This record gives sequence, structure tokens and C-alpha cells, in this order.
Amino acid sequence: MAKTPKADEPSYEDAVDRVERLIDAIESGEIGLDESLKAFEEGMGLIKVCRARLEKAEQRVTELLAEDDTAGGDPPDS
Amino acid sequence: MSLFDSQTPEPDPPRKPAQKPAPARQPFNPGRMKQADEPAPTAAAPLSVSQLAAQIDRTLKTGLPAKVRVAGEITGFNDRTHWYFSLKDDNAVLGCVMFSSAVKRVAFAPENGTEVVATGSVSHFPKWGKTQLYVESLEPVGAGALELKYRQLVAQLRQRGWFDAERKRPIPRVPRRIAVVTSRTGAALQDVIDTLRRRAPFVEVLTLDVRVQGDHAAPEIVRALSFLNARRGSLGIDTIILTRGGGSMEDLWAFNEPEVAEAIVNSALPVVAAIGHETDTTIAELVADLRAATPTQAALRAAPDASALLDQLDASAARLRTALTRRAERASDRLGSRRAELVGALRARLHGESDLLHRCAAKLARRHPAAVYAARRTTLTDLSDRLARTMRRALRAKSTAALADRLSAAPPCRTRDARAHLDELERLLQTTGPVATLRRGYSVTTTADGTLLASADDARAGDDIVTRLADGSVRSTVSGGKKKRRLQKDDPGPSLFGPE
Repeated sequence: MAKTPKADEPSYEDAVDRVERLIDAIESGEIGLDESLKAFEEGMGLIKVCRARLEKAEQRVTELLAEDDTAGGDPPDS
Repeated sequence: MSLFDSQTPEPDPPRKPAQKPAPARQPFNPGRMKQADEPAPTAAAPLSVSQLAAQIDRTLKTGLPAKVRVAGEITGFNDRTHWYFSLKDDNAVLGCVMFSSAVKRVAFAPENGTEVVATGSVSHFPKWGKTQLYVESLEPVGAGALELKYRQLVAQLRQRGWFDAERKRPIPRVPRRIAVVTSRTGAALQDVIDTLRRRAPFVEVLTLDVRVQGDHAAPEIVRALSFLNARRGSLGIDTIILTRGGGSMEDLWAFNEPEVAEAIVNSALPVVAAIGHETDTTIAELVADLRAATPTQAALRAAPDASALLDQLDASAARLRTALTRRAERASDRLGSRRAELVGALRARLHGESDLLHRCAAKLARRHPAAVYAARRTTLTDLSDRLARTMRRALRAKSTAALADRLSAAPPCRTRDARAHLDELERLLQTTGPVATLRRGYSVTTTADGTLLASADDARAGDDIVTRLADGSVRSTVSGGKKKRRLQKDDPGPSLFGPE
């Protein structure tokens, strides 16, 4: 069974939004130089993570069996 | 029960309560009623037409179920307020009437030739001698039936709000995993997989095999959707694609089933549905969060173009770099101008202080003792020179002779006046001077050594004294003295001429 993505990883869209806001913050000049550097590093980090997600060149196809109850089901309320 | 059963006085099979009696109403005639209760006459006594008709009607009602369903083709269709038509097959015809109250509930428009299933009750109408089906409901059969059912379901679910745009969820733009519910042998699955691989190979595909037509399809689809939703957390699924290839309305009918629509509505995961060809629209597609015309379209809408996204990320990285560079440059510029300002300010300040120092040094130099001394010495030298010069001039100018000359040159009257004044003064002096006083009888007594005798204490007996008179002096010797009282301040003193 394929590995489940970590629940605490931001979604791609959230990551891209964050990068946009970081660029705005740096461009506006409202934050100090130190913060600008930190924002730059954070932004580059997020871009790296996003790239990593997109760059897998090999597609994975897995067949599920609906009656397989040992497939690690969630608790009823999930 | 035989048609001519005359043993029972009245009909005994139980009647349904809603059963309508024959519409014909005869005026109340006890004679006739009695006739009906009597045992049927023998062959010798014939029935009246009315009797027979009534019996036919009664027999129909007791002999047939209260409601019959009959399939046939519509013919002689006549619609006024009520519908009048006949149902026929190859060998028989049956007249039908449908009252407007029942007509209201018919959801399609029957025509001559339409195959239908009619539900209603059969009666014999004695007045007209007609046996008729009183139709209560009418349904089409064959393809028409499915069309109708589809339209009815659409109306029903639309009313429930299942098609509303507001309840549709957004499809995740960049999913990590997509589940595809379809037949594993169909072309639709391969289309989806191929499209996803070309466009977004990073998306993992999970497939779930279901039958897509026939009676078992709908329950399997429902179970698949429910399974995927129950495990969406552990399976990490972002989107479901529900799809199948083209087919007839019957083939696709599973996707019109209400239970499938309900499963899609209740799905917490967004569903992209692509059923049949572009022109087919099933209820599943209407309730889905996104309808795609074909399986390939579904894959295109469910996953992004990875290379386009990567380009966007490159652009974002470039903008990030540029932003930082510009920001650093701005900071550097500001620093540079601040530095220039600082240097300028310091320089100005230094110049000011330097000027001040020079002025103070000059002031100090002026006040130096040596300088002051020198200045004063110069002044003094000047003054003494001037004095010397002036003195020399003065001395040269003013000799005694010159003074004497000046004096003698003075006007004589001045001298005369002075002489007269002197004479006057001499005269005054003589009258008041000591000589005049001595002449008046006063004398001055002195001791032998010349000391003036002013007090009786100063003369002792035996001393030699000299008394000066106006015209000479007398020498004497003191024989005794007597001091009078001490003189007080304002004591006039002893009287000169009185007793002692």
C-alpha cells in the first residue's frame, strides 16, 4: 500500500499562497532586512518541497479491493 | 363462480371498500328490487336487458380484482377534460376512460400507438352497454418509461437541492492521490490512467473495480464510494473519478439510480463524474461536484499540468530572489546615504569647533601677560615721552624772568588795591592784637624759663616770674597763691573786678 502523506505537510496550494505572501512582504519593505532573509529562506524551502512533490516522473497505479478490511481503515469518524 | 349462479341470493365475495358502484342510476322501484332478489327465473322466464346488464356489472366486479393492470397500445385517443381511448393488442380492444383527476398525475403525453400499462377497474355501463376500464394511472413502457423515470428523478432530486451549485465542492488543484471507480476492463480506466501519466505523473492512482451496468452495478458503486470515504484519511485520497464509457440508456441506468446519487451527495471526497458520451447526462453527473464529458476530460480536470506548475515554481523562485536582492540593495543604499550624512555632519561640527578654537586662541593671545605688559609699557612710554616733551616745552616757555615780566606787566591798580588792603589789615590787627590788649591793662606772666603761667597751680612760693606789660616787663617773686575754685565749662570764672 502506498505511503500516506504526512498530515502536517501543508497542501500545495497553501504552500504556494505562503510563498506569494512572503514575496509581497519582502518587496513591500515593511519588514526588516533580517526578517527578509528569513522570509527568503522559508520561501525557497517551500518551493523546494513543492518541486519535490511535482517532480516524481513515475506514475504509481494501485488496485484497491473494496472488501479488504485489513487495509488499515480509519476510525469510524474520520 | 358461474355467470348464471342463482343459488345465492346475494353476491358474497368481499368487496373492497373503495369500490365504486356502476354509474347508472335507476329510479327507485321496489318492484324491480324484488325482482333482483328472487332466484333467477327458469329458462321459461327471460331476464330483462337491465337485469342482465346489472348482473354483468356485478359479475365483473366480483369476478375480477378490484384493480387490474393491463398492457396495450393506445388507439382512438381523445382528450377533452377526461380522456377517452382504447387499449388494444392484436386480438382485442378495450374501451378506457380516464377522469381529469387521474389525468393530472400522468407525466407523459400518450398518443395513438404509445405502449402503456394502465391500472384501473373494469365496469359494465348498462346505459350504454359498454364494458370499460376506468383508468386510474397510466405508465409508458419500453424506452419511453426510462425517459419518464429519468425526468421524474431529475425533478425530484433537483427539488431536494442535490444539483445546487452551492453544494458542489471545489476539486483540489494539486491532488496527491486520485481514486478511479470504474470497470477494470473498460477503456475508460485506461484513458484516465494514460492522461494522468502524461499530465501529472506525480499523482498516485488508486483503482477500484465495479460493474458499471446491470442490476448489481448501483450497489457496487455505492459500496465503492462508501469504502473510499471511510478510508480517505488512511488512504490519503484527495479526489474520486467515477466514470464509464458510452452505452444505451439502459446500459447507463445504474448511474441514474437514486442510491448512487445519494452516495455521491454524501461523499466527503469530491467526485468528478464522466459517464457515457458527451451527449449523455446521467443523474450521477448532475449531483457530482464536477461533470466531465469524457474519462479523458475527467482526468484533465482532476489533475494539474505538472510542467506548467514547475514553471510557475521557477518563476516564484526568481521573484523571491529578485525581491530579496532589491531589498538588500535598498538597505545598502540607505546605509550609504546615512554614512554620507554622518560624515557630513561630523565634518561641519569639526569645522565649527575648529573656528571656535581659533577665536579662543586669538582672544587668549590678546590677554597674555606679556602682551598686556608690552601694551601697557608702550602706553607708559608714550605717556612719559609726552610728559617729558610737555615739561620741556613748559620749562622752556615759562622762565622766572618771563614770570616777573608778566607780573610787572600786570596792571598797577591791582597792586595798589592790595596795598590798601594790607594797610587796612594792619590797622585791624593793631586794635585787636595783643599790643592793644596789653595797653588796656592786661599782662602776660611767664615763668623764669619763659613758660606762660596760665594757672595758679603752676606758681609756687619763691618762684621767679616775669610779667610783661605794654611798655616793658616786671620781675617778681611769688610770695603765695590762692586757687579759686575749679573752672567749669561754662563757668564765667571769677570776676576780674570783684572781690576775691
